[in-house]
Amino acid sequence: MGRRLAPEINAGSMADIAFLLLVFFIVTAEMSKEEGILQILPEKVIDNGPTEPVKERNAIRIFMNENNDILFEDQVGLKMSAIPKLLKEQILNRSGNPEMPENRLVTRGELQVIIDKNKARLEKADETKVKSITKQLKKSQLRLKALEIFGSDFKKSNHVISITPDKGVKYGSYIKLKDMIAQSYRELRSELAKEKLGRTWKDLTLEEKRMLEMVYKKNVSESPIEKN
Amino acid sequence: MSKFNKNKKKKDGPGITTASLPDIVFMLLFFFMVTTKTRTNDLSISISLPSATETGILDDKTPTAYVNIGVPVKALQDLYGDNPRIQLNDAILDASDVVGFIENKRASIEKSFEMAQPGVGKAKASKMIVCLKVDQNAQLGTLDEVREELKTAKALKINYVVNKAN
Repeated sequence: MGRRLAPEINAGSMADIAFLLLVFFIVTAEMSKEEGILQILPEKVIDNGPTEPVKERNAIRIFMNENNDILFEDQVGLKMSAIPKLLKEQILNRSGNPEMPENRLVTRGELQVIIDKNKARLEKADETKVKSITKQLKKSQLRLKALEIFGSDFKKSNHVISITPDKGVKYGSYIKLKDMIAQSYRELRSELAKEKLGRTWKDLTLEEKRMLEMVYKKNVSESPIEKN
Repeated sequence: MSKFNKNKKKKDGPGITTASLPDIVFMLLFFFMVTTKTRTNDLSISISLPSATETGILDDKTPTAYVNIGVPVKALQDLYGDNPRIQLNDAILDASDVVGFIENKRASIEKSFEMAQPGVGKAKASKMIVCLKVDQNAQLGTLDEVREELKTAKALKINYVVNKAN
């Protein structure tokens, strides 16, 4: 036994310690992904100036009171789950009922006009605005593409869904109502996708989804709307 | 004994070194520490979220501000009562404090992005989404007050946080 070597530190247990720390972090941390319903609030109205009135037939009014009673247009005593069917009927208005929201076919010409306008704007635009105008141009071109695919199903509907919940309504029911409205649009879109593209909503590309969103554009208003 | 030693020598191949194992695990550890964030705000109110089917996922790059609405927890009910209240950061506050809260949040988002990449702070701050976590039994009145304040603060993008139902 000559010189004694310094005893080596056993690094094997280091891994165990690190694993413990790792497990601790995995358990306590949460991925910052959250499911939610997005809404863009309308801007605050400062001078109660004249707003564009909505025609009576175009307004789809849904009221709700604190007992979760629903008034859909003139119908009372509805269940929440009955809303999608009624809404779909109103938005499509296949029979051209004069009481229901009006819609008309979208023409190639009017879409082309918007595309040309955007192109002209893009040429004149300064650098700061190029990005937003390009975005608008792409959107208008996509609309034209949607018209080619969906043809006469691409209608411009003037409907406005107006929801007016009482102050006493529970938040849970309010979200349910919003969800039902979103579901109606989703059903409209996926039904059309099945008919024209032969695929379910899940199998669509992002572009196809965006086109369908253009065909059935969501239009919900939460502030009481003016009628004439 | 000598026999035993001989046997061992024969079998000994080049053993796999485990010295780098801790390094690998530490790398994983750092990855998790960086990509996730721990919930720092303790809620003094109880919130049971409603569920919905038609939801979207917020991408984690979007800056967010949280506004919570719910009934104070049992221990705090003597202090705050048992009506739904608003919690911003750690404190239970009133609807009138929302504007200040949003402005502070915007400033801090702007500052933190400005540090990483000068010139993008303002744009990032304007993309801020206000996440509303509201108890499903709370009445709409409180939410409505908050929304009005958000309009005043020009924070118009809001997201109702819900549980995903199938």
